[in-house]
Amino acid sequence: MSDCERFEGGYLAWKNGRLAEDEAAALARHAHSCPHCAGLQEGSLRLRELLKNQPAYEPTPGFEWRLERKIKAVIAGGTRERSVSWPLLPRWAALGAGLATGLAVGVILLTAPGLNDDQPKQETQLAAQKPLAEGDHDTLSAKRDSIAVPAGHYDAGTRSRTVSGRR
Amino acid sequence: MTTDRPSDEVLIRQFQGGSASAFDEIVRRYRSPLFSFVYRIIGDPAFAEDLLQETFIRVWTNRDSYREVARFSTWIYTIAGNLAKSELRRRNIRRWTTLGGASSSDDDDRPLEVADESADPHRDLERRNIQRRVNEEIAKLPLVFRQAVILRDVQELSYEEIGEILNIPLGTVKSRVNRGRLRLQKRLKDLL
Repeated sequence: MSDCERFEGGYLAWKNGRLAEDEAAALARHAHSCPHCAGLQEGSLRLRELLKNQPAYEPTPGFEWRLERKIKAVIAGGTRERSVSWPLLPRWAALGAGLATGLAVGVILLTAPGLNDDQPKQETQLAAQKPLAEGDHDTLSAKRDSIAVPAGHYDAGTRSRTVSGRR
Repeated sequence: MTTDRPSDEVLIRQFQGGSASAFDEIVRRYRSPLFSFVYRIIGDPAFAEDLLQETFIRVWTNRDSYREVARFSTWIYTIAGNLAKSELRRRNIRRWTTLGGASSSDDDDRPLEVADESADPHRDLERRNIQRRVNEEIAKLPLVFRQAVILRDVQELSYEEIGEILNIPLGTVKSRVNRGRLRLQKRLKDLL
């Protein structure tokens, strides 16, 4: 432990007169010789005590098991998963992508000459859009659910509600 | 803690020699302090966990590159710190508000605190409020001060070690710690 660290650790006790005489003298000598420690204020050392008592955070349960699985994948070689998992997109980008998809579908539906005639085309268009990855963010999943119209459930009322939600 | 607890350097040597249980012990010792460190730097618990995993994967894959010229804790904190910095740079996040902040409405953003077994709910609530405020103010610090204060005052590493981790001179470490503390002191004066 360096003299500065010793000083920081003993400062409050020193100020409150709780240090032994020789320890107090050592701290006083150090304060005279060290510009860094001489400049320390009591407040900043009280702050240090506050920060020292901050809780330690824990990863979610099962962390070791997930780590072991990834390491096995690394050892197996060539199957290493991305270390940073979903979502890679910031939330706003995922929301924007969902809205853009919804707008595109809305435009397609609006410009379709006949509802039933174009239904297979629309389903194809929906299917042809970039599929949402599994486990996507809840917001993006909600958007997907509202966009995807199952066959046989399509009617004018649903369409107008879906489209108006995108305006 | 028993007196015959092997040091980190002994563990890494055993791990280099092929002992998987030594690696398990390293993970047990460092998962909480490293997670706390990375989480306080980047502010997102899910990504902090990803980066923590990546840190240990790098320890695993690069174990033979560790040499005892530096302490093992310096080495592993350097890996974790660099990953956190890279992630922040990649996301262009300089400040964040989700760590313990009331602005977050997503449960996933809530900090993963250690459960408190205290029987006094009022004291527990007060303690949590203080923790949340402290975390919020730490989050507002510029990254260079945030790292220094977290490593010195939360993780309680030595100035010398912090200098090695952040690759800055000792004087700069002390200066950054001081300046970070002063800023926090002003914002948290009612708690001090």
